[in-house]
Amino acid sequence: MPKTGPVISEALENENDSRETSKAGYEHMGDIRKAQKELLSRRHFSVKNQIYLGNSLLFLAAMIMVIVLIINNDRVNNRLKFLEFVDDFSSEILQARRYEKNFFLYGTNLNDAIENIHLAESIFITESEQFSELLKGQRDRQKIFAKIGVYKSLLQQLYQHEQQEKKGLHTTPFAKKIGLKLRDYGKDILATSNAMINIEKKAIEKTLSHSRYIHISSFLALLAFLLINTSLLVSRIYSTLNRYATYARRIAAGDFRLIYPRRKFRDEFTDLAVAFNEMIKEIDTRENILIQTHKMKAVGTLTSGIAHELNNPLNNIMLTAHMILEDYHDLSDEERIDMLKDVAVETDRSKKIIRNLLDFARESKSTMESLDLSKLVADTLHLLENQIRFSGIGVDLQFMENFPKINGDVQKLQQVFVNLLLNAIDASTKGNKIQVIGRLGDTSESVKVSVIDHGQGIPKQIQSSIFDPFFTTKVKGQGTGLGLSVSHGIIAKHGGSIKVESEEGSGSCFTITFPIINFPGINTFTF
Amino acid sequence: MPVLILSSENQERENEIAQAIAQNLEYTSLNHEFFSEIAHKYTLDSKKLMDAMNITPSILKRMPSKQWYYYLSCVEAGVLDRLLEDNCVCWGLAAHLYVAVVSHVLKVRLIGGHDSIPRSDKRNMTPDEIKKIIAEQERSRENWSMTAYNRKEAHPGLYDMVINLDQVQTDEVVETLSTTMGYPRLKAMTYSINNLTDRALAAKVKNVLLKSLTDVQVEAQNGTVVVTTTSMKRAKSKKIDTIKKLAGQVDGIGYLEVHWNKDMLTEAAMSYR
Amino acid sequence: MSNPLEILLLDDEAIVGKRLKPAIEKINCNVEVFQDPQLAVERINEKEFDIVVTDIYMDDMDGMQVLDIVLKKSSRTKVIMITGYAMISLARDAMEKGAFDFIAKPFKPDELRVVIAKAAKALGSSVDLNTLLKKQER
Repeated sequence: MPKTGPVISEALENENDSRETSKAGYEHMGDIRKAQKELLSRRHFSVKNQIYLGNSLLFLAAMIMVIVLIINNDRVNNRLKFLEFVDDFSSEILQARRYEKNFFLYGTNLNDAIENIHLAESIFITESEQFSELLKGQRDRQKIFAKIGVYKSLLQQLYQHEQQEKKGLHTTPFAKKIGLKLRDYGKDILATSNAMINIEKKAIEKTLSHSRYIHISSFLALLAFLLINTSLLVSRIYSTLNRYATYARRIAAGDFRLIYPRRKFRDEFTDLAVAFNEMIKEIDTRENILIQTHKMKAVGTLTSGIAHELNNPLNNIMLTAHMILEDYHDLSDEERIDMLKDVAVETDRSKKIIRNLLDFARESKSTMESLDLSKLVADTLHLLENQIRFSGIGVDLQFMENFPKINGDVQKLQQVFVNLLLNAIDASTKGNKIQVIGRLGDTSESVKVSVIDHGQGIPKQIQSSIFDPFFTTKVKGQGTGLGLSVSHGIIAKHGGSIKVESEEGSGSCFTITFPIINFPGINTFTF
Repeated sequence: MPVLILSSENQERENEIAQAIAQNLEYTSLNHEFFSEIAHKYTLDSKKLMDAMNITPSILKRMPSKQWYYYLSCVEAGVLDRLLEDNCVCWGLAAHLYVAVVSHVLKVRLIGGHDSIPRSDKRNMTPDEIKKIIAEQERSRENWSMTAYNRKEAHPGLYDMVINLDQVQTDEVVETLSTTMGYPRLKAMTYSINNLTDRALAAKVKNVLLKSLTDVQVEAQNGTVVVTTTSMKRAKSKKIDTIKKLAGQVDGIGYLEVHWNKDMLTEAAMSYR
Repeated sequence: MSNPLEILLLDDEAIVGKRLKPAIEKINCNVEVFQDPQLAVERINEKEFDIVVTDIYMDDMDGMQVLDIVLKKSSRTKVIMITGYAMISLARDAMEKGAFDFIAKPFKPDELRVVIAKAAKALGSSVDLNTLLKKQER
């Protein structure tokens, strides 16, 4: 016999590969690797870096503000010193003028006046160097300097005359003439210095108000900067955390779609996304094991029925074979052929009975395909025929005509219906009826299939926990408590939902809703 | 034609009840006295046979596991052969463990009435000590039944009925069971007789095989015997041939089939040598 | 030789009736075969059979119901149950209801003939299996 086993399995695998693009709920290892790679291939910009960068920028801004303030402060200081100098200068001039007056009135103090004007001049020379910039803005330094020079030379002229003529000089016409000149120059210098003081005072006021403006605006700028920085950071962390909360909820609900990159860069949350994908992979693997384990349990239940069902064709074969043996010589050729035909037909029937169960039991890779739920449910009922017969329960199958197709995994969905129907059979008593109704959902994009029994019902207080794993009301060893939980998981992966309505004593109704064809499985989580 | 199989935690009262029922219904009794007959039939050491019914295999007690399984299979085959004769009360032969569900066999478990510890010893013991001894006995019985037949003797699911001797008087038990045995539902029928015949056939085949081989399970249905065995791959054909040859000697086999599994454990152990 | 036994055979599997009718007729019995339990019950109400052989799981009616109907009509009739779905509880229930015997499918024609012979004996009649056996040996 040729070895067909490996060839067939290879062919199946290829088929799966080609379908990979259309499959949705059940992820393959390749998808996980792809998702992980995509997540990690982006430029790295971590939250840590963002915090560091924000704080550095903040520090830089604060530093600039401090420097500006220091410079401004310096300026004020400078102007104050200048004011002081101008004040000193003008007071020396004033003093010189006072002595000058005394000289013209009493002929004394000319020396003092010269001394004061000297002082004023030296102050001006030493200090004006320093404030040249400030002076430039107001009067020409040289101009003042020249005026002081003229004033000084006039006083010196007087002094020379005093030396020559000794007493009474201040009353001479010459002196009076110089006196008039001195008065004009003195006034002029004083006026200039006063004007300087006034201008400078205004300038200081302006600088001070400028400094206040800088203070307020830098404070505001700092505040704005802080706000922006914080909100950027918060929105980045908060929105991602929110998204992860959504993922966690979806995963908890059995939606095992992978997380794919959504932003242009990667960061700490990417590590989380990678870890989430790993987790999804693990959960998915485990859930598949759970599904298979539970399926084998269901297969066990069905096997006893199948074994009994086989007895009928076997009996037919056995009776026929024995009668051929017994009456071989008395039978006509026609009769013998007829009997052997019966044997052949019954053997075929046996094979079909076993084939059905084997098809269901076979562990296969999940493949999503467009399928007809009404056919699937009818096939499932056929598989359960013996259980239904044992229990003496009637089954009423009502599917809307032209029932829309859905996308799904035939084997897994069949398992769901086996679970629900076996539960319904368990809940029912002899003579009860189980109804399976397929109709359009509340929205036109969905279909609903309800499995209704008129059995004992489910008490209100446990209705919320029946989909929990390992929850069972059956006697220990009778149920695994996995049927509904596994079914719930399978349906969630198909983008559907399962709900129960039950009234204690009058029965239960399990309603499954499936999206028609295009369900969101193709779109994956993004990050 | 029904058969009553009793199992209990208390040999004394079980004996009493079983004898009374057998007398009531004029049924034959099948009890520990049958051991000598078995020993004779299969030429076994009768003291060792009694031991095998109480201990699990161990080299220390000079009871190798191969011998132990063979002794048990002798009891099984012998008892099942006798049970085919019907109208019988059977106890003390562990029949409740190897007579599977047969509709005309009523299996009853008697619990409580812990008198199996000699009364003289009891006086010097506190209730806690007695409890401890009982728990110890139960554990050793469970160990035995699990090793021999992979069943927990005390599991109620094994029985049609469980009666608590602490709550029900001996004569009441006798009366109840005598009445129950008269129910039509316990009448033997083709189906149940076939079931029991198959069991007996399987036991006989197993007995023949265990004489020289180990590691065989035997099932029978409608005279078709299926032997399941494990061995190393290279011993496969030899073992299958031996089984076919040995089992072929047994009467009543319609068709013999041998299912072979690879002995992974030994195979793995050998490959590391 | 005594009068032939009147036997009704009910099984929804056509082949069962087709093969067993000649097999049972060989041991000097009159056999009426039915596939539909309703028709069989109608016939049972018309005529008293010595032996009724019935399947248990059938689509319209349960073999247990047939058993009840037969015994209600005539308590001396022996009812033999044959089923592919043999289980200990089902077997015990059938016996409790008064079935004469219970045979699990698959069975050989001889098994049923032996049971019929037993039933005949219980009815005070007799069926000679020996001639048949001799015939087979030949």
